Amino acid sequence: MDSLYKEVVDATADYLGPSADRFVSRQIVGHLGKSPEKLKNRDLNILIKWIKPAIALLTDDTEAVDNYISSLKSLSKKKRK
Amino acid sequence: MPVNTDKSTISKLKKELSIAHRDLKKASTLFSSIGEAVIVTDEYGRIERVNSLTEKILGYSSNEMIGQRFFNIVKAVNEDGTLIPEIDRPITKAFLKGSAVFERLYYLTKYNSMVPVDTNVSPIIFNNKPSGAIEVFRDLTDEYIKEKIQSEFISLASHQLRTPLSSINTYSQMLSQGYAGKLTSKQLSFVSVIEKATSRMNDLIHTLLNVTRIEAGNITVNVKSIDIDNLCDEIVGSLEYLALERGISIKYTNDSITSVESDPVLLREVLSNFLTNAIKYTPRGGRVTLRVEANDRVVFSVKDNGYGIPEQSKNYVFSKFYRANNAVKNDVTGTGIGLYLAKEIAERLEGDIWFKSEINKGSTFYFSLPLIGSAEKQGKFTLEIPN
Amino acid sequence: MANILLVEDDKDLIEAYALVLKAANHKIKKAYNGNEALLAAKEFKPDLILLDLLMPIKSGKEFLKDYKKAKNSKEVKIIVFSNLQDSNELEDVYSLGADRYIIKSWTGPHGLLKIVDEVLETKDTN
Repeated sequence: MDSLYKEVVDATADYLGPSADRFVSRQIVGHLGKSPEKLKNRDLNILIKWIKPAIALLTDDTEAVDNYISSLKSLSKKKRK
Repeated sequence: MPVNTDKSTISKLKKELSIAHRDLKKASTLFSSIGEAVIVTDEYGRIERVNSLTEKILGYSSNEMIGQRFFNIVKAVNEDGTLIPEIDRPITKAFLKGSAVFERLYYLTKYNSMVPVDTNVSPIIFNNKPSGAIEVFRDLTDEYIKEKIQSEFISLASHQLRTPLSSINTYSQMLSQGYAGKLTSKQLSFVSVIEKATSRMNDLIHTLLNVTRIEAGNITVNVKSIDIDNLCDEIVGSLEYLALERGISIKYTNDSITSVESDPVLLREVLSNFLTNAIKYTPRGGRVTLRVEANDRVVFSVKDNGYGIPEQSKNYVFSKFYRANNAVKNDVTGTGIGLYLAKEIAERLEGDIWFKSEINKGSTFYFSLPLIGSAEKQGKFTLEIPN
Repeated sequence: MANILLVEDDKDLIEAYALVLKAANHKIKKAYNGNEALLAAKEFKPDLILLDLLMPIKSGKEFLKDYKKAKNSKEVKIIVFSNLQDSNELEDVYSLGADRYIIKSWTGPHGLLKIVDEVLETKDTN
């Protein structure tokens, strides 16, 4: 089973390519104060809140940003152990 | 749903609208009155708002900037002109940190010229969510020009002052060493006066140069592991002749600590200065002690039983060019710069400097460093190392 | 005892150094800027060069850059003179092949002779 962290990285890789891992882990450590693997569903709201402007700075396409944020939001709806 | 359109409601709404308009206008005026360049971005990283200073510094009109992606307009480079990657830009770091980031870097104007700027950028939190950023920056060009002029002056001054001094030094020594024939003892004594004065002038230029370098705020701190006994023995040894001449005995004690991480050149300058002062301002037969102790800090102290510092002078001891009355009386040649330099060095090494003194009893000067030593600092200059 | 090339634009100083070094039995050639120095070095084949840094037409550093390209320049010792001491400049000058760096206004004839002897005595470490 994929960890939530890995799913977030996969979703991000569509936009940031190989730097997605570093980007996401920095956001998790910076804003949630925990190690990336410990990412839980309930953390997603805060993470998304901060990832949005960060990724918006790095891409040109506002529609892509919205799609990306939606895909992250849908991850929180999946049931996890 | 029926809307309440009676007169009093309409009048109330009109009033509130007018207040809102006024507040908006006021906010707008406040924004345009800010004395620095401002850029506001929205939650998509697009430029939402700029002020006239931003237009002036970057060279774009506000129309050219608004709606554009921030990084498409505001390009940043290092001093060597290499582009700074977006992920390393202050605004990216500000979103990662969640709060303001301060940095100095270079922006590229519309016409591709580099402008040095001092910038701080902060995420805008609205309804508990980051919804953009606000950046305030300042053109540092004038400041950088001043610094450049200052450092060029330092180079020029040192060369200019030393050129004639080289000739005076060389020729007077050649005279006393007999290259122009044997001198009478009277002639030798005259030449000796010239040599002593030249030597003082060399010291003065050396100290002045070091002061201007340290004032430029940009001295390199070259951290090394310093053997304290070696350094102190060396300093005491170099001042032995002066002490002997004045009938002063110097003692060195240290039973606390063997080494410290710091810049040996800078540390030597401080301790030499303390020791030279102690020797000069103590009467014949006096004692000077250099002591090193360590508890929660490494403390160097130089104690003398000399003239002491008068009460009214105590506040000025570390000021530039200040010499207390009794100091001038006892040694006409002092420059009043040594302790000022020592204080500036202390700050650069992140140490503390202070003293205790009683008139006609003596003084003790202290310099302390943290146990972990000083931090390495990359600067434009180093201090000169004396011969 | 050694062939020493003096490169210095200040006429008073170059005369003084020549006097002192000749009295110590060295053979001297004078050059007043970097260009003259390059020509003189070719003909005179010095063991040691005393090189001022700030000179007109061609500076000491520029001379070093050109001179060190020559085949036989590797064995020649170089003492650089200046009146500005800064560790950045020191690094520059050493990386260009200088063996020593001395400050003119601090070095009298006695000091000069001592340093010349020291530098001439050092063997190249390969």
